[in-house]
Amino acid sequence: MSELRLNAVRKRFGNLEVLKAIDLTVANGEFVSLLGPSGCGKTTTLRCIAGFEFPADGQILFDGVDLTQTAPEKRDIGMVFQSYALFPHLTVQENLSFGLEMRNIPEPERKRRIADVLGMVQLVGFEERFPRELSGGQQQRVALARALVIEPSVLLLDEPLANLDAALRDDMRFFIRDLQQRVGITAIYVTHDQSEAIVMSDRIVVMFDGEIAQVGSPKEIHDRPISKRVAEFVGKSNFLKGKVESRRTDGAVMLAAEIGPIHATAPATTSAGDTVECLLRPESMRTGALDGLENQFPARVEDIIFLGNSVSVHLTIGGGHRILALLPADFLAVPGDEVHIGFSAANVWCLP
Amino acid sequence: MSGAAPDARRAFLLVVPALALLVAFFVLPYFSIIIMSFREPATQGVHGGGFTLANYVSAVGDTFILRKLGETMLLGVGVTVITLLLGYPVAYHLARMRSRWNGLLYTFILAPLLVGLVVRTFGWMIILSNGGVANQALSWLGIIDDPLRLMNNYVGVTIALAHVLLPFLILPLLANIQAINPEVETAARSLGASRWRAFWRVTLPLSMPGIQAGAILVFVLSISAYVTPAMLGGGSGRTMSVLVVQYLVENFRWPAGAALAIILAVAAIVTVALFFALTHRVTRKLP
Ligand SMILES: Nc1ncnc2c1ncn2[C@@H]1O[C@H](COP(=O)(O)OP(=O)(O)OP(=O)(O)O)[C@@H](O)[C@H]1O
Ligand SMILES: [Mg+2]
Repeated sequence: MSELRLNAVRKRFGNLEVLKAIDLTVANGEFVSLLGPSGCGKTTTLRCIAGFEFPADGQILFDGVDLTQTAPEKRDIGMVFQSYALFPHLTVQENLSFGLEMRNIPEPERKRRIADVLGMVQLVGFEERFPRELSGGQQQRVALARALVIEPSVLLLDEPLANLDAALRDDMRFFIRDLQQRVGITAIYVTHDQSEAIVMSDRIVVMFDGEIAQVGSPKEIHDRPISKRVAEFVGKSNFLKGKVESRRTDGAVMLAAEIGPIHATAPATTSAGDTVECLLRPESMRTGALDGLENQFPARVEDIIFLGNSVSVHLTIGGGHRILALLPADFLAVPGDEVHIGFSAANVWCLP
Repeated sequence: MSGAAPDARRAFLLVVPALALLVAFFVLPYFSIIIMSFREPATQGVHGGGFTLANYVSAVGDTFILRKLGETMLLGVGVTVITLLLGYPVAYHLARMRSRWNGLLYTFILAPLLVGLVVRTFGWMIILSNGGVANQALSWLGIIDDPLRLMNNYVGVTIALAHVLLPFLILPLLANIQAINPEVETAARSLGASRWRAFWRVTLPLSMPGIQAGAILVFVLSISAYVTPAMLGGGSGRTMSVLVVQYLVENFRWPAGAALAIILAVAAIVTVALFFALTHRVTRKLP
């Protein structure tokens, strides 16, 4: 187990600057996700940490030890791949044994550790199977077991769930998170799926174009994004334009918005007189009992899409502004109905 | 239920042309050679009236023939090993590297096949003869005083065969390595294997089917080659194939020549089977 630190790591492929001064600290036992669109440099960051790419500049420190130029096999990492990358010519047992043999661990201990880990991933009895004789989910768990059995100090996962079907993916999210917590291992998880990052991580690192846009807890990233781009990437968004009328020291602001006056929350950098754009998440909107909600508006229902456990509703408010709301599935209205919606000031976030 | 039989029949119809070709051009000639090898020799006509084992008995009892057989097998193994050592890195490179030089490399690999056999062999004669390019270059560099004997022995034959057979090793191997997920090597290294150990424990066993296919092609083609050993081998570099042709064409000893051909074929099959047995352990577990 250890702390991992990236100091101004840069990487280029030819003329393309893929990583532009990445700074990141991952605490011992922490689960950190790298989240970003395709091509933003997530895999490259992970490969630099693993030692398969060497940064042009900057340092990578494991527990304070500079391993920037060290070969991957000397780094004490465990890695899980999107393709699983199990050894097709070896059985499950032999796949797990590989890393232990590389570490010259004697046979009885190898056996014991493999049995332990297979228990953890619930694959006892599969020792003699070949990877091709396993389902995708089982292969994924073998890959996880193979990375964990060597008891690495850092676990690196590159979109490990991308090849699984939706239902299995949901299960595996919790499975991996739970396993990471039980083992207490430092984990870095690459994904471009925001909901995956949100449910699994202690902290999320949002990356765009080789740069870190924001680092924070899932809640911070979701509710208090630093830019419109982060807001849009992390979830469905409504943006409300307005002018700050007044501001209290605790960040509560009064806004003259296009849809009318609203109560909102702003970062310290925002002051009265600023023109701002605010984020209002569809899921923070309410109908029915609106007691205690600072912002209440009449709205007209435009259309409703049933999503199973909720409904996605397009509304027009404040004189023709379309806005999206995610409401409980018991929301009974039809297009054309007039309803009242409300949302709290805490849920209207003025983007800095 | 009723669909199975017509489907199977239709599928069978598809293989009929190939089967006919195989029988007409492969099985029948072999069959006639086998029969020929058991005929009695004759001076008036191709063979005598009866059947006999004498052709085999005298061939197996002839130390010259046995030595030639051994040398031919060794030549085959030698050419296979050389092409494997030269070809594996090339196949691996082509399979794994995204380089703009790949197209050029492909051309170089296939080039020997684009030039006619006789012309190519003449080229090697120019290079390998006593006063040839290779010896001139070596003596100019001061590496040798007297010319090396590169022709009229197995050295020249080995070099020329390795040159022309290299693509037969590289192409199946290339297809094989391309089909291996490159991430398994990455995974091996993340588990603590050095580059070399990752290759030895993961990539090499996974590429064994390609090695087998390429090696068998090269081996079979080199022991059955005729033009190259006939032109470059001279007297001491004569292979079994050259000997067989000599028997058939020059000496007109068809039954004895046929027996030599069959002995060569059996030796080749035994060698290939041995090779399979040796590599089987590795490939057994492959999908
Ligand atoms: N070996 C390489 N040579 C040249 N360019 C590369 C190489 N590897 C990655 N790149 C480029 O670097 C950029 C970042 O790639 P990277 O694989 O890190 O993206 P990613 O965030 O993991 O994307 P994805 O979600 O699609 O996996 C991309 O533009 C990619 O084309
Ligand atoms: Mg990637």
